[in-house]
Amino acid sequence: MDSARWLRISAVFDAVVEASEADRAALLTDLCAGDRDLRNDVEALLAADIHGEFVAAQAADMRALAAATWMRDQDVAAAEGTLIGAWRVVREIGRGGMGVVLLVDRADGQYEQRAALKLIKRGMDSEAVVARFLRERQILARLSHPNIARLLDGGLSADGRSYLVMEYIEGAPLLHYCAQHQLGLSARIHCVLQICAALQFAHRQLVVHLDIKPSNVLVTESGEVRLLDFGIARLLGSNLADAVTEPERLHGPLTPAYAAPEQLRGEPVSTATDIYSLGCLIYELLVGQLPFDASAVVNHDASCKAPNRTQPEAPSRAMLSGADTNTLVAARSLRGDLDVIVLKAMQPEPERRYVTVEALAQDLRNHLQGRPIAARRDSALYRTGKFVRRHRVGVALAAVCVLALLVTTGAALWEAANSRAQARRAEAVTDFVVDIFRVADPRGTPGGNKFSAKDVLDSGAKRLDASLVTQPQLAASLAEVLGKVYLELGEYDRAIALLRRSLRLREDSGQGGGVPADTFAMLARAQYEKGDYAAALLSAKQALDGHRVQGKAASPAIAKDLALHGEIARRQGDFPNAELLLQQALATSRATLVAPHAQIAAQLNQLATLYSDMHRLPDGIALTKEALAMFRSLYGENHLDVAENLVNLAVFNMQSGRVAEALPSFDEAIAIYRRLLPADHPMLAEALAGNARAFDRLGRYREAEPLYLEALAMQRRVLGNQHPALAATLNNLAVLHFHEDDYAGSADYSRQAMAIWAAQGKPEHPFALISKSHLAVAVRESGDLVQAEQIGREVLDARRRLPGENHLAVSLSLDDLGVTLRLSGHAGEAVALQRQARDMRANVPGLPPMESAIAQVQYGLSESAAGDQAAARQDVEAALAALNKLKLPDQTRIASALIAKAQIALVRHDVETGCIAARQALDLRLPEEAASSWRHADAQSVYGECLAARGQTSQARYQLQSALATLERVRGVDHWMTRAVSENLRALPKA
Amino acid sequence: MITAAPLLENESGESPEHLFALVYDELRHVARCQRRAVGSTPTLDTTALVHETYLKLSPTPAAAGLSRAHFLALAARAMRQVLVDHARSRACLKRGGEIVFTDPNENSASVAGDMIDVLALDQVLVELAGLDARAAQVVEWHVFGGLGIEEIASLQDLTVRTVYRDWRRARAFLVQQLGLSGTPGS
Repeated sequence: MDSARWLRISAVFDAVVEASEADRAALLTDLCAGDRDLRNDVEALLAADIHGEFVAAQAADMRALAAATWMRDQDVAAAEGTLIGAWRVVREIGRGGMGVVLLVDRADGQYEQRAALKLIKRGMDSEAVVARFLRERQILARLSHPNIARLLDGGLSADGRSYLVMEYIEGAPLLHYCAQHQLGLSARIHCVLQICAALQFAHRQLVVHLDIKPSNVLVTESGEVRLLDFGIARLLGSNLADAVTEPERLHGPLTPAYAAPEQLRGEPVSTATDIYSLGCLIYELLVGQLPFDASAVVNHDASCKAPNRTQPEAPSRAMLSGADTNTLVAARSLRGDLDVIVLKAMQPEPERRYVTVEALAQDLRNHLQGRPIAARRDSALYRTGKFVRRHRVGVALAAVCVLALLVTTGAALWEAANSRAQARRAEAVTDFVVDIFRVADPRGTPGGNKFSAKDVLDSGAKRLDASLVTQPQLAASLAEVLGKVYLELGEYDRAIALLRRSLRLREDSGQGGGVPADTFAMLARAQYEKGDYAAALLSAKQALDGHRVQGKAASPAIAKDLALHGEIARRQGDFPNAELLLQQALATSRATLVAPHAQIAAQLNQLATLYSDMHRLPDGIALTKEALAMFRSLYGENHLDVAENLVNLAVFNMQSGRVAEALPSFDEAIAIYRRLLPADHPMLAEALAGNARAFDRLGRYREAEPLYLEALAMQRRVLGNQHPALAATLNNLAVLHFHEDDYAGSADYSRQAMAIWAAQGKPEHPFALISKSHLAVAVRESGDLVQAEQIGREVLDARRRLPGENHLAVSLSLDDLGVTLRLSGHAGEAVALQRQARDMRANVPGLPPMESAIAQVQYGLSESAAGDQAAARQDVEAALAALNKLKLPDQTRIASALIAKAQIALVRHDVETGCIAARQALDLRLPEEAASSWRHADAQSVYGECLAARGQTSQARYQLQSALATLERVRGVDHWMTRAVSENLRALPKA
Repeated sequence: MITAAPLLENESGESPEHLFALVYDELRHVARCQRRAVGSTPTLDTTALVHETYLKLSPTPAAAGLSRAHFLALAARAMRQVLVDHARSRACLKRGGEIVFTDPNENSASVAGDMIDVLALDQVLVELAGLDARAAQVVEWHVFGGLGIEEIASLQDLTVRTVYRDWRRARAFLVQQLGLSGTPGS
């Protein structure tokens, strides 16, 4: 653009910009006089003018900030040539809050060396720092690793400022390097792996960094990574603590944006602190922004006061939520493993992060090589040690589909989940022990993973006999300790063997001291966990006797023994005995402990769980409430035990039919889980799914769906894509969509659930068959009778094999298939199958009354189709009476039964009865359903048929046409239901 | 050194370059004094700085005969130069070989990341000066010198309305050239 043109643009702009919005267009047209380019230029400038105030304000801020940094940098460093200790200043190369960095040469002539010297600003140092440095520099000097910039020297300058000298690295800061070289994802991960190598090395020397951040990592032109400032934060921090009481000084000059929560809180730091910061660094490297809003931590003091930094958003999501996408990394590539790895490193609690840097590095390598990562395996059930023995009321994971009519509890599924949980707990404990050994052995173990704590344990167990033959008592104690560890690890066989050996050694040593009751109690628990109830009972008895001999008739230990007895009885299905024992246990705990007490509350919970098994819901609710109150008074509102009991209470309420009452408990439990558990956790997912289930049952489908989807996403992240728990949620989603009359969606979810079971190698698992039976019904309702029949037969065959004839599930399949066959015109076979189902249920009770009544209605319809009108009428009347007695909250089932009644009456030429029943059904259908629901159309069509039989042709035509219109829209032209109505319409006499 | 816009002639006949250096040095000096007074957390008011520098220099023989208006213009230019020089040196440091100390205030850098870059603004101002020297002058004085529109009007011997027009036009140009029209806040 030349000045002349600018002049023209300016003239028009000046005139137009001052005009009112309304006048601008006309003025523009006028002034530009057809000069299109001119007009475009002015318009662009006018558009920019909208942001003018903003840029003016920004410019002012820019000036203030630039001026402020300029002033901060006024602190002039040592001039060129100055000597500092044995070093001569070449030039300044950097500045920061702590002082200035100078390029220096060795000046004492000993040898040529170029280095970076940090001259620490006054106020950031002290003589104590220097003294400490001199003490520690041997350790720091030992940090000789290709990825670590070495600390060379340190001391006091002539003007009394302290300085540190380190290896000079010619390189760019990490983020800058990555941007400059446009590094892709895997190249970035390779950089991180080099940092890991450096950190791992230092950690083995028992040196922590405590200030890991991208600007402390330089990358040379050849791509080698160097970690700077090792041990400096600690060096500077630890002594300031002596003199300065401000909390932020306790850990030295940390960088809030990368600091671990414990650092911000001024709590003890460890290698886990570095792992957290490394997680932040990886996050920034991958996402292109810090995990937490920098302004949220910009005030150091504020961070100290608000230390509960939660987990950050998953990197992949952070990228999607529109952050700076200047990295070359696609959000998609972060989803999954990398999310999990970063979030694991950044767990707020140190003990939940990677145990070692090597473990993190290994996961990164696993990811690069497409192998499964370890974090997934063990993040799934945190604190499982606590959870495994928890007593939860079996949350119904698999929901019931009204037409599939299958009632299940999630108990078996939980069993499966728990055994996996134990496996994970084992890993966690193993890792923990590994760490202990690592820390205990400063020589470290090169390669790290060649050395496992279990090896140590195992060799310890082996050594027991060899080296301790002369000290049987010590051997006995060690065997007991090892047994306990194995018990915690979930290795019950080894635990049992060692505990037995301990008992035997004790016996052999003949030292007496009474019955080792605690050891027996432990053995009993190991045997119980293993499922060897007979042996567990014996051991528990020994423990109980031992504890009784040891002292009083009643003690907390005795209460525990009794509770274990009770649990064993419960597992064996001996409910009366279990109840007796658990009651005794509870009474003993109450007598020997002061309420509120965790043991009392836990046993209340145990007894409540038993009552859940026994379907004694009111008793279960009472105990759960008491346990809840006790946990609350013990731990306050914010505790996992409180949440767990809230969920139990909610499930009890749902089982008792008081679904609405379950909602507040779910709400509260979910709120607690969200506060206390990581963002993704199976327990939270379970509570969400339970809450969704309650909404589903209340007909509040819209509220149910997002909760299910959140639970599902969580389960995917934590448990992977093939976990049975996912199948349960998918199944429930299928049910929800079925309830919403979305049959295609329902079928899709059922197929997904089945796919998981197939991937598990269990296509005929009872839960897989539940989903498959839902699929059959959804396929039928979406109109494909042929496929529905085929799937239905497959389910029936599979169920006849397992669980076998005479099982409730088989009877339900027979019912489903019967309905499909009737609709396909095979009424005879339908009646035969449904009769089988009915006979079967005479021997196998357990179908809830509402479902029984629905089945009876369907049976009646088949009987009618097969020609037996009397029986049909009888069945439908009986079902209707039963439904009326249930006083159901919504009238859907009654309306369906009335429609059936009308249909049968019509066949029997009892037109009046038919008209009345159909009219009643139609009245029960909600008016808002009129345009959208096939149910309403169904009632309309039957009513229309009745009217036609009565000779009211035009009214009949209206009802049938209206029903047809709805059905064509909702279910499609080819749907069997639509076709039936269409035929009826054609059969009407011409007007 | 910024060369795009000519320095104002001074009435004393001193070479503009000489006067500029004088003002530049004095700005730094005044700033340093301010810093000592304020302590380690400087909150610099550049407007005050420019005015204080004027008060310091105006009685000196070197600045004899220099009108207040012209002096403030010089000071604004010097301030711009100071900040640009400083930004350049920092930008150099960021290009490699940098070793940065842990800085508890480091997060202010990320705040700066969202703001207009001094160097980019300087560059655009050079462009503007080529098209519309008077408007560029207004920006320099207003933004870098912290001078108000009225002050600038009296400096340039123009009406406030005219100066405001220049400012508004220049502002739109800056938004356009700096690509800031996508920024929120409008």
